[in-house]
Amino acid sequence: ETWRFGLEETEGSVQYGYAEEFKKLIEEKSDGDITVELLPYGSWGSNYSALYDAIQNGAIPLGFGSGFLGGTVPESQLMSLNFVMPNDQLETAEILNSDDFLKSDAWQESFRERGLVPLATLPEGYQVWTANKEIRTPEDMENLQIRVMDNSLLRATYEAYGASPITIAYGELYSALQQGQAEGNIQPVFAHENMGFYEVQDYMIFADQSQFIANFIGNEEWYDGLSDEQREMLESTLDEMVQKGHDIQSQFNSERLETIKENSDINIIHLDESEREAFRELAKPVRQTYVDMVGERGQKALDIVLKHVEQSGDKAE
Amino acid sequence: MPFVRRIGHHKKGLYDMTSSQPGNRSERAKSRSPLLRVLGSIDHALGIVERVIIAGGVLAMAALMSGHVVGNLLFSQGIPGTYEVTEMLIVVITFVGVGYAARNARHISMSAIYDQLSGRWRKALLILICLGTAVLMFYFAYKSIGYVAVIQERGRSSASLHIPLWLVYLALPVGFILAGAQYLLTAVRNLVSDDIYRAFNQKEEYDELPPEADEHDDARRDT
Amino acid sequence: MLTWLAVIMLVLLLLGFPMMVPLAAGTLFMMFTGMTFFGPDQAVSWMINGIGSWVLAAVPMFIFAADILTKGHTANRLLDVVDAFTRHIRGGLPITTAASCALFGAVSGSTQATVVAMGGPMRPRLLAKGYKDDFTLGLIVNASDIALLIPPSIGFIVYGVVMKTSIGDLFLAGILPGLMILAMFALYCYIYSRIKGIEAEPRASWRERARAIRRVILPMGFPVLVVGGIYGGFFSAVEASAVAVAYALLLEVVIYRQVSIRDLGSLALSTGMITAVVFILVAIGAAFSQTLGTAGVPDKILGPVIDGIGDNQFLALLLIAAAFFVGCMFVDPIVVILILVPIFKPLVDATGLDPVHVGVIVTLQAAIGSATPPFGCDIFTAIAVFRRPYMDVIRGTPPFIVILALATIILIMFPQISLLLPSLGGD
Ligand code: NA
Ligand code: NA
Repeated sequence: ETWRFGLEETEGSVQYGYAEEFKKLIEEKSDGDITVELLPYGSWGSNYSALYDAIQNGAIPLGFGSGFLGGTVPESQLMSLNFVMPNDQLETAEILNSDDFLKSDAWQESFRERGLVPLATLPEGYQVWTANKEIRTPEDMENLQIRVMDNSLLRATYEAYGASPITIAYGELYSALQQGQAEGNIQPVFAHENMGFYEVQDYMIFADQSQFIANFIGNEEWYDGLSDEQREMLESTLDEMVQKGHDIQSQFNSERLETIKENSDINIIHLDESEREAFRELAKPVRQTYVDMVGERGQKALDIVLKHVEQSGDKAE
Repeated sequence: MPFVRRIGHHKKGLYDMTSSQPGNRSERAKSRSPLLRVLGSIDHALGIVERVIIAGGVLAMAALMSGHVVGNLLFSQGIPGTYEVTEMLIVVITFVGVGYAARNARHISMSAIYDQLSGRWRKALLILICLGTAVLMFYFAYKSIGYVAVIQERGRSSASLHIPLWLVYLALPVGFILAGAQYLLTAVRNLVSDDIYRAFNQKEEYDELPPEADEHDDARRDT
Repeated sequence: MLTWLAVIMLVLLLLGFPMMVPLAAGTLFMMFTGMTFFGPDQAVSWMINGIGSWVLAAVPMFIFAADILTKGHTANRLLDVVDAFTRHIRGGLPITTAASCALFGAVSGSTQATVVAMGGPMRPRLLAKGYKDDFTLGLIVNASDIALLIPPSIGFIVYGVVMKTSIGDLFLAGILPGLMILAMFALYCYIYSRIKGIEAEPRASWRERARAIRRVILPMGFPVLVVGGIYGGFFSAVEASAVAVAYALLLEVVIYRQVSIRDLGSLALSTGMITAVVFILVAIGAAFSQTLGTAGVPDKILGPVIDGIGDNQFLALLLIAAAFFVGCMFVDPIVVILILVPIFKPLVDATGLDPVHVGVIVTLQAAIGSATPPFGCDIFTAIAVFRRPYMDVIRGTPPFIVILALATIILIMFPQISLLLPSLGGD
């Protein structure tokens, strides 16, 4: 039996590292009965919707869906809300992979209504801002033409900070940053490195406002057709993968950050707690925007996350 | 001799689209078969709808994209959704355009062998091409209806303006059915008439001689 | 299986089925024979996602802009200025044609538009002067290639986005190679005219020249606006295509008043149909290439070759040029760029080639491919516009293709020709 696993990223990425480890575990546990075939970006197409279609129609039963999944599963945009998750990245991974959240009716139904099942959540590291000036306060971000995807929630978020978000196609982004059409950019560290965006930006700002989070999803029919044994094996593997995923992500991003530091003299800034507080206050109303956009299930899923965050004692509110 | 006068004005666009219409009308009047006449009227009405969608799509794209640029430059604020609406317009123009291009016999093909044939063989090959292409178009129409139904049921929408995408993707079955019908009609017309028709409403012809320098203008651009 | 695939596609192509049929048949053949695990449902998704792409918006926009300029006065003004300076040279008329194509390239991003805009008025003049029609058609169809190397260019935009390379640098890189090819064509025209004993035209007066120059000042705002706007960070390369439309409207509707608001409808219709005819191939081509990829065909064919090349840059470029040349013989250049660039990207990275230089080579092949049989969009444009049979249009192309192949070799051997301007212009 072959389990095909579609990735939004190419070889040598966080998703690929995760998938390799997943493949190893499944193939070991099944004694070779199951082969996991990895299909990185490009092998299923180049437009993410083609991957989501393939997962929905069952051609590729397993796959990742991150920022672009919002059109297919609107509730999944919970992952791009700012200042909701705890500061600790591992803790975030644990909350988002807890049965309480992942197996909640709200989250399960959101995906199952679209022929999908949420299997796990993979935080891939902080979304980091870059710009050609220091950004420590919302005032610094005032009218900044920061690049966001053509996505209403992201635009609402950065408008809440006072920025003037601008939409640029990913393929044109390097040029746009270089020529100054876009004045800032938001990407996980590995993307800044991989695409060379840091070469044309002066400041890298860690506000720890949100992570780049991928949903590990399965085809609903495929998942429901698994034997009990297979499903248990899958569950136990996914449990193991929470810590492993975190390790892969942290190592990967710190290596990439090192590369950036070596190859450039970009200024790296970490906002302190009081600086983050100013942005946090501005981001809070956007939660309602999210709920208005996706409905009640989104509210419930958000509440579960917030409840856990509160219990963990970390300050998110 | 001043050059400007001679190259004069070009009445038509890159390829001429509209000029086949007057010819068609007389064509339609001449044909005696009532079946062809009824088909002809439906065909004519659909042709107008296609033209409006395609031309409207291009104009809308130009207006939206340049408005977005102007907004960015003057007000630091582009038009939200420009990117996704542009992409949707491309989908609509392309697939509706497939039908429209079939109507005008403008789909790109490699006609070297076809051009060498004449008479009955030429006609037979043309009918084969039309029927084969029609089958493919109807197959894609069938497949895309399934796709549109699934997207509609699962409620996929665009990220910026939350437009239901199945509405946009309707362009696929519509375009494929229109194209399939055109190829089928062309095959029928070739079967029932003596002349060779590249499209339902277009008799085949090449210029016999290179046009004279002085009269190359409009006549030559009609296709 | 692979042989059958090739045979089926080739037979359908040669029989004269619309190009979309062989591509679709190839896709479905691989799906039905189990060469890939994907089924026809996915083919529909790939078709939509293959064209639902922002960068492709540049294609209709540049065609629309060129269409407006062709209907209006701009195209003629550009022709006149070149004519005033070159017609007295032996071979002046064909040289005017080639140079006008290059100049029109500066306001147009597409070769097909150039065939119509420059070929339309020049062909009757060339014929009247005694040039044979096969030479005339070959010249028009091939000289229009130059427009793809002179910015703006759809080829560079699509390549730049797929390769994630600076489109501004690509634009600058295309200029010198474009001028070099123009010079080579001009030389050929000179020799051809000498051999055929065709006399030159009378020299234009300086008055006429001055007048012609004055008349192109506004049209020459195009390259300044487009390239300047991209370099100045005012808009992106794709957005520049819409700016080009706006500027074309400003010139032709407002200033020269040659195009009425009513005309815009039929121009838009014409643009939309040309776009659809190419984009349906991009759509089905996307399904085809994805199917081919999951069936492992490119790896099977290219894997060993790429291993053999190692890190030899010269061989790598030669292979890339050959692959794009052959690909563009059969399929639309935009489709080829979209399919082949991702396949060759690892080779480019591994050999450390400059992606900008590769972009020039690739775009040149795309340009050449527009005019090479059996499949060439410029050939089809010429068939449609000049209403000549296929064979007549391609009969005169071989000498030009030899020249273009020679240009490819020169550019591969001297990357400086491409990279000089970007190195001055960038940063
Ligand atoms: Na150009
Ligand atoms: Na070709």
